[in-house]
Amino acid sequence: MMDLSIEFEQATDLSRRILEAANKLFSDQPVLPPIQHACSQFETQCHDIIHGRGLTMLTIAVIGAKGQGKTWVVRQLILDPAVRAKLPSGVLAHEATTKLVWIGSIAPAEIDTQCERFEHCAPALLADLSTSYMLLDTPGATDADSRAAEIAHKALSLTPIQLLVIRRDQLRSSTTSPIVNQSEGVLCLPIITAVSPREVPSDHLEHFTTSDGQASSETPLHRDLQRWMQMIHDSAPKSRLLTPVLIEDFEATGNEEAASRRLRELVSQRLKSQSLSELGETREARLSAATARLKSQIHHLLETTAPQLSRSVHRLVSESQQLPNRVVESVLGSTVILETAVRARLRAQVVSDTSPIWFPYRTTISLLSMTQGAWDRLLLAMTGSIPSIFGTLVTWAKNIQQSRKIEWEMQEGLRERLNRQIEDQLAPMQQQFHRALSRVRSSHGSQSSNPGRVVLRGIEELQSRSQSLFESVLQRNRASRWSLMLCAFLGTLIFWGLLVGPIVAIYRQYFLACYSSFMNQTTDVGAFPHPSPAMLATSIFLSFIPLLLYAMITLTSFIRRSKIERISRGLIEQHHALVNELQSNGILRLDFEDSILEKAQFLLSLESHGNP
Amino acid sequence: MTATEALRNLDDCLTNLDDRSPCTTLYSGISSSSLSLLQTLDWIQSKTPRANTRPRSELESGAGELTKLFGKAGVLSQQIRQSLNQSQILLRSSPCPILAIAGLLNAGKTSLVAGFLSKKGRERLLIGESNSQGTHRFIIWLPQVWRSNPDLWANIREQLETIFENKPEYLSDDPRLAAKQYNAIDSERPIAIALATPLIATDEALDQWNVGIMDCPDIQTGIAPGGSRVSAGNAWTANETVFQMADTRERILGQALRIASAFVVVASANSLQDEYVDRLLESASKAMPGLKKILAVNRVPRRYSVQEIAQEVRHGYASHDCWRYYMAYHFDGPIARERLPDINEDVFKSTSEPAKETLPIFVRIDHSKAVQPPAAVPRSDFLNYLGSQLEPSQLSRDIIRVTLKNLRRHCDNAIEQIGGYLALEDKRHYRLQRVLAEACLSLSYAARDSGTSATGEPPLQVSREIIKQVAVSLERTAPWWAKPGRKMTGWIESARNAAGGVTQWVALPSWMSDRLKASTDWVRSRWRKGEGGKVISSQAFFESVAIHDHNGDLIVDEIDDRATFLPRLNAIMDRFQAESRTRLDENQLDAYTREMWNRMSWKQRMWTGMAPAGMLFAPLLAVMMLPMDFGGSAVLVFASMKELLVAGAAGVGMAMLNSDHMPKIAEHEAAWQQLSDLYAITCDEFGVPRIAKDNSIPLRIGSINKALVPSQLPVQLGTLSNPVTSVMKLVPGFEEVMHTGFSNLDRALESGK
Repeated sequence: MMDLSIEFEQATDLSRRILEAANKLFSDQPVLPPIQHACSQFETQCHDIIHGRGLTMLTIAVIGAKGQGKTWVVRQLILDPAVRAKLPSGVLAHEATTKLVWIGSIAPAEIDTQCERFEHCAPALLADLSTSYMLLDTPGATDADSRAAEIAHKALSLTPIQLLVIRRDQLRSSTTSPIVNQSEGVLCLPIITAVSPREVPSDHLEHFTTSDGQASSETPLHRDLQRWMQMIHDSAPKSRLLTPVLIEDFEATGNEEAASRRLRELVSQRLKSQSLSELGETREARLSAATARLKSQIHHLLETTAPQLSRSVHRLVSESQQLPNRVVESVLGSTVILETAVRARLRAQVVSDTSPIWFPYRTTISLLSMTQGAWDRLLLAMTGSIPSIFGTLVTWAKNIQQSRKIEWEMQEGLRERLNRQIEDQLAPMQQQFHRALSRVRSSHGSQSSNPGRVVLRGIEELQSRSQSLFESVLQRNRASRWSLMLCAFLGTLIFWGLLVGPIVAIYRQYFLACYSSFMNQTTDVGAFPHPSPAMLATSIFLSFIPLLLYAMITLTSFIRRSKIERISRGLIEQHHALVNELQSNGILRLDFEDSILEKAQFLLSLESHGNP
Repeated sequence: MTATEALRNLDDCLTNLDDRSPCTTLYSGISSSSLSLLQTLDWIQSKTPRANTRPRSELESGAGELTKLFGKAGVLSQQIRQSLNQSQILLRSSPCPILAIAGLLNAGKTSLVAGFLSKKGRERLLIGESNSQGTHRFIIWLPQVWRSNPDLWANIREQLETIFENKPEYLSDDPRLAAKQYNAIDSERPIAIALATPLIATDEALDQWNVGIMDCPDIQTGIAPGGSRVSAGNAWTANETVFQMADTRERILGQALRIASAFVVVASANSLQDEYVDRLLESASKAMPGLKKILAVNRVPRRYSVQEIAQEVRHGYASHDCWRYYMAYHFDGPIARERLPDINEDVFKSTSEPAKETLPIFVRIDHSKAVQPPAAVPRSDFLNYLGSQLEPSQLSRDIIRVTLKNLRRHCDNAIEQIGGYLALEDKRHYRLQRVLAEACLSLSYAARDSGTSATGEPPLQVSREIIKQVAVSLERTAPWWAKPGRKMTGWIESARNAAGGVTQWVALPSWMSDRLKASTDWVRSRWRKGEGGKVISSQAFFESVAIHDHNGDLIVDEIDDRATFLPRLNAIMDRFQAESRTRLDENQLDAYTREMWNRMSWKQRMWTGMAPAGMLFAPLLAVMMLPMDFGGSAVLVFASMKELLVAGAAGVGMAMLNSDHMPKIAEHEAAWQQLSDLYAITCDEFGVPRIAKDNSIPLRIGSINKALVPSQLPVQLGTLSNPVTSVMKLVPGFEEVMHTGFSNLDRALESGK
């Protein structure tokens, strides 16, 4: 559990930030006062929740709409007749509760006599709940006296346990919803008064269920109760709801004492079933509910009063979130760039991983690698065609240039393109936001304010991780060493196998001539072999052609299209995952160096934020 | 004159077009016309459909005061129409007063209604405190005899339809079906629709009083009948949903109460200081001010005396000016039953059941002789006898009087609103004129910022007319050595429509067309990038308007409005290209082009002489083809003469750029005239009056102020959508005519005609 003082500081800090942002954005616009009011109300609530008016004792408030029998319930929990006499209840104005009434042994701090009073009552003279406590009687939240109603609403955040009183015939009323919404986070015991004696079940709802929506009985009372409890749960999901207490209409039974006794008995029973030491520890939930309420309130206010502003900020944020993925698409998603890059790197790997010992196979694949896209001309060039030689050289040069370009794209492309896109796409949206703000303010002055920059943080990280990703994917997909060796061996074998005939013939003649010169001493120098260059060239050429064709086939198989496409697809997917990961970790994020925009973004994204 | 005739005259005055119309349109593009009061309101409403679909709070905060009125115009017109229709129906109909019984949730409204009905009628009621027994419809119980009068019956139905804006349905005779109708679970329709569809029933017990009774639903219910959940959203949304349901009920009640001649507001004793009682009484006063209101307090605990309750309500509700107060004791339980009034047999004469046990018995408590049971309560003090004390004819007169009063109130309000609207429109016109003028000028600014014009004056807009003029001048001043290429000038003229021009290029020999195409493409790419001139698309035009529309007079939401504005802006640029006739001074232009020819080096002369003139005129042709780069939509091209010729394939422009000794040409005057034309066309398209000659808008250019000159182009209203504003005025004397109509009506009513 988080330290409450820290949470309180965070809550007040949130309120301060909201106010600061609203002041900066809306200055003297009509939307500002409701925001200020909401923040001030929130701060009071936070103060009440944390400090609880200095009371160390458990406090139980009795809340509800006007005329539901709240004070009657309070009176039944007081056993001291003198104190009970000071708490009139009834339908006449002079019997109505218009102030907060604290009943207990210790007076709360900072009593405002204008709207509060304290009635001393010894703990022993309160109904037994297995712990000492204080009672708080509140005015009706729908009192025609607006001051009394305001006091009632303020009291909703004062106590961790609340007895919500409502007449049976008011169960479908809308008045309860805001009351429970305002007090969300508390432990709530509903007390249903004025239930017709005919409707009160014999077990007093002991087996009433609310969580699974299954009614224990199909009487109208149970159905109404279930829907009412559901409404309360929807309006205050963080509150803990206990099984309601049903109190029969004592006007109808004529037995108020029995109703009173039953109330004490059932309230005690319901609350004793809870751990009372834990009951007081609802502060965190109440604080969190109050914070969520403030966020919803501000969000709702802005969505309704300045929807154009809200839309322009949402669009900007959504665009900035999509931007990195779009740029990744544009850099990597282009088949031309990515597949060419992958192909070039795989080719280079095939060449570099083939040992130089496999001559001339390695030389051949190296040549083919550099003249990719001009193999036809390469073959023709071997026949001596000057234009083909020229064409091959041009392709060679182009390939080198393209490799450099791709290298740049992979190293700098993401960063460059992201920066360009921010300039091209986010800047106009930023201006659009300022114009929308200007219209909300209906003033000319704001337009002149100089908007700051929008910066995407984490591009360096994205760029570096992207490069690593590229390298690791290629590493994983490089051809295996044994396959390269096997291909190299076969290629070398083809070449030397074909060239071995002339070489053996020449050597044989050479060795014979040597032998003859040693043995006969009269051997003519002409007996030594002197093959014509044409013969040698022809032999080499004839041996090289099959090697060339073989090398073409092996190189093509190592960089086959399906493999390139698979690697490219994998790379794109992994890049998207990378972008999402960086975004979710907050590494890749949009920073507004535009204070107004930053504040608007803060206000408009309040509801989607977690803790402030 | 009878009241019906007087009302017909008034109707003519409010709805027909004649000299009594309240508004005259002074500017709606090309003609003026008159509008009746209702037409004026509808017109205001129709002018700003988007404003009315947006949240009210946005209108109040974002678009200023003017837009507040737009939202009200529709409501006002609806109120006037309804009051007028209702008045007409009431005047021609026999008296058919209706007593509305409204009240708080489970306060005993239907129980009270039951006290007026026969046993048979009571069986069709739904009474009880659970949600499945709740009243979620408006049920109008009418005397049986009314149904036998076809005219009266038709009038009642018509009146209900006017007020509820839905045809009424009949309450079933079968009690089970009637209960479902009461509970709004007889069909799958949404609860709001069911609420706004009234149910009619008749009962013979009402015949004796000749008064109908409307059983109204409460205004607090936040949980709909049936089994659906309140909300699946967060706590805030759930709370809002509950409130919306209650709000809808209150809104429809406010509307429905207009049918009533008197009201009974029923409240439980425990809710006596509840704000909802005040709200109900206020709703009644607001809907039908001055009609009789009765407060009936139900379920009073028997420990309270009649006097205590009487004093409480008199004190607590004095401000609501109720006609009478009634109370009913809680009738359950054994204690102090002597306080329950001993009812006469005929209070509930048509029931055989012990009504005292099941229905509340309301007795009058507002007069000094109010009796505390067990003393006998006079028969006249029972609320069930209220019908005998209500004079149907008086109730009918009351409702006619109040409906006409409402009509008058709404008309006065309408006149006031229209006056306010026109005053604000006047201010808005000026703002709009300024926004459009500044937007047009800033397009030129953008061009000037490209760095080629140092004078601070707007550059020339390269219209087709200008291109043609320059091309002709180039041909006219071409020296002998340029003759071989001059033929191309003819092609330029034929290339006025860009697409046609392209096909002609294709017909050229390939070596020539390739060079020409390359040259033109080069120029186009430079201009697209803003080098050597500025190309303005409708997108840029929109941005320019958005930047200057600080108050949101034209653009409220850039995302929404962009789509609707772009066609308008395209239309503006198309019309400008088609109609702009601004020309440069012929002599100055000839001197300029002649000097250009003279400045060519021999090398350029040789080349130019051999190459087609199109190579030289590539920039001119590029301008023609620029729209193709923007998907075929219109563009505006701003460039100075220097920029227009700088990119010539012959390189002439490069020579000129370095020279400050070219002949002067009055292109800025032409540019200013073009700007005025563009502004005039923009105003026409948006339906904004152009600036009057005597009321010019000074535009600041650099350090000087300059006013736009009047355009010679004829006014031609845009056809794409409604004008964004109109200039109107109130016809003098209309208010007197209207008030005379009302006075005639009052006189006729007083004289009993």
